[in-house]
Amino acid sequence: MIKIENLIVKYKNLIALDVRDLQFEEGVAYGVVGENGAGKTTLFKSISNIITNYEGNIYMDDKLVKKNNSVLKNVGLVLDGMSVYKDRSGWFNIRYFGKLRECLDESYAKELAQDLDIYAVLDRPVKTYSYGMQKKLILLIAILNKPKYLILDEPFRGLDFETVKWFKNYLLKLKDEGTTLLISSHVRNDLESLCQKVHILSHGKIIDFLDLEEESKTLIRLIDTTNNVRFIEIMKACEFNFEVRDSKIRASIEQASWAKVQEQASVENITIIEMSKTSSLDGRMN
Amino acid sequence: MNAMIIFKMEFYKFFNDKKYMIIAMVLGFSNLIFTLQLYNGLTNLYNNHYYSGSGFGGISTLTFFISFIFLLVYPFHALSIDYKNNVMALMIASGVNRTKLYFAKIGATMIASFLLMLIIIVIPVFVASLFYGEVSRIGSMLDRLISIDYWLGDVDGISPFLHLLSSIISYASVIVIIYTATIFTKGTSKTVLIFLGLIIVANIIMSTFLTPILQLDAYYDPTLAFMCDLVGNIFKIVVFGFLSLRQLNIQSL
Repeated sequence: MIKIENLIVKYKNLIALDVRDLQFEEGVAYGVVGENGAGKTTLFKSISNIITNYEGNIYMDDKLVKKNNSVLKNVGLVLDGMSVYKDRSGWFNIRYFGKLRECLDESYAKELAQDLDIYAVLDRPVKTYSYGMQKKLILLIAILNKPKYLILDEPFRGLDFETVKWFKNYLLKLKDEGTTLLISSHVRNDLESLCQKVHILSHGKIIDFLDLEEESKTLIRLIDTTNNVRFIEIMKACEFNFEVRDSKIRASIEQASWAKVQEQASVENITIIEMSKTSSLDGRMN
Repeated sequence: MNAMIIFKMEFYKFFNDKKYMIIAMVLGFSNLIFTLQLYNGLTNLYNNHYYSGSGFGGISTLTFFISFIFLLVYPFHALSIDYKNNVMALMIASGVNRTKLYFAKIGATMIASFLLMLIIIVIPVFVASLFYGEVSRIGSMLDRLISIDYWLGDVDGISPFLHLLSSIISYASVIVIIYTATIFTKGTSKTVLIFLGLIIVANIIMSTFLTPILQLDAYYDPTLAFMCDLVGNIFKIVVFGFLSLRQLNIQSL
């Protein structure tokens, strides 16, 4: 488990991150969303010791990360802007970081490289790779040690469709095997397909928490009608719980009074023109 | 993570640095050729009273000069390669302890520089000497070098062992100052300028404190000068080592 207590990261006088209490339980896939500059990357960098001049404590498996770097051998990390030795070959980088983490398995690396479609270029210097190929190599290095915790900051950006498909399947497999995933993404579909829980960051603070797994069990719909103003009055009269977001009505149609609302709307000739599936992430993605 | 693994991986990086290894081999080979040429010229000068190696004089001087520059540049390259490639984040996130990394890099860079010096200068001169029948002289030199009496002997009042130790400490202080400049500039092109600035500042401070001590004696005392030099270098290692290690430990990568 990753446990964060009173974490404060400052850039000069600016508080970039202020997280009082946050836990990432083992075997759960978490999403971290927020606008640009919300503090997602800073959070990941603090967890992985890339930033160390913070206040507060970060524990991984009950060990203080700042004092016990070796716990990070259980972590796979992909951050935007991360790099490898560009003058050296892909194989050099795989061997270097694999040996550094004492987890080098060349046959597994070869298997992953074939799946990621970079096996043919591994003998070439990394500086000749495209952006997508470099990102695939960093992904390969991140998952080479079959990490217990996998931290991915915008993991699919710059990757081709086939690789994204393969990687999502791979992540689902890791999730089933009990790997803890921490994923930040601006793509709703990525989070919905991979994450069970989502933390929402804004201006360095956790402002909300969503349990997508629980939510998927409910029938939440986005409703639009020919007369939304009157429809809202009907819902209120029928004591039907709802919320209005971006001028659209969002409600769970599991409620007992839903039939009564539909009946009254029909009597008043109000037609439901849209009733699409929705998620709590609507309007929260940036 | 074990410090030995970090140290080993620094050497893995060193031996896979093909560009630098090829340059070192070419310089070593050139130095071998030019040393042979020099021997040949000196032999002719001794036997026939004329020097026949002048044709290569300019090139050989240039090669020795390039060798010197190469040995000077290499520590900058070795210490800044992680910053220049922006891999520090990935290294630290792989579980590498910053303090262990610091000492492993300094140790590995010193040893790698020494190996390069062997390839570029020592081995070519040694081989050329063997070729010109200097075997007996080299043999007696090696005999001296492996004798404990020699190392505990006396050169200007100081044993060769202390001279060797002082040279190693002096080189270590240079490496620590280069790494200090590298860490503070994150391996950018300003590193060399900052290094020169730090060297100048350190030497000004050292001479301010040490010159009065040396002037206490009316006569030049080589032992006192040696000790001042040794203490000065140790002081540089401690001060710059503390500053750079502290900076590395709090640096956002």
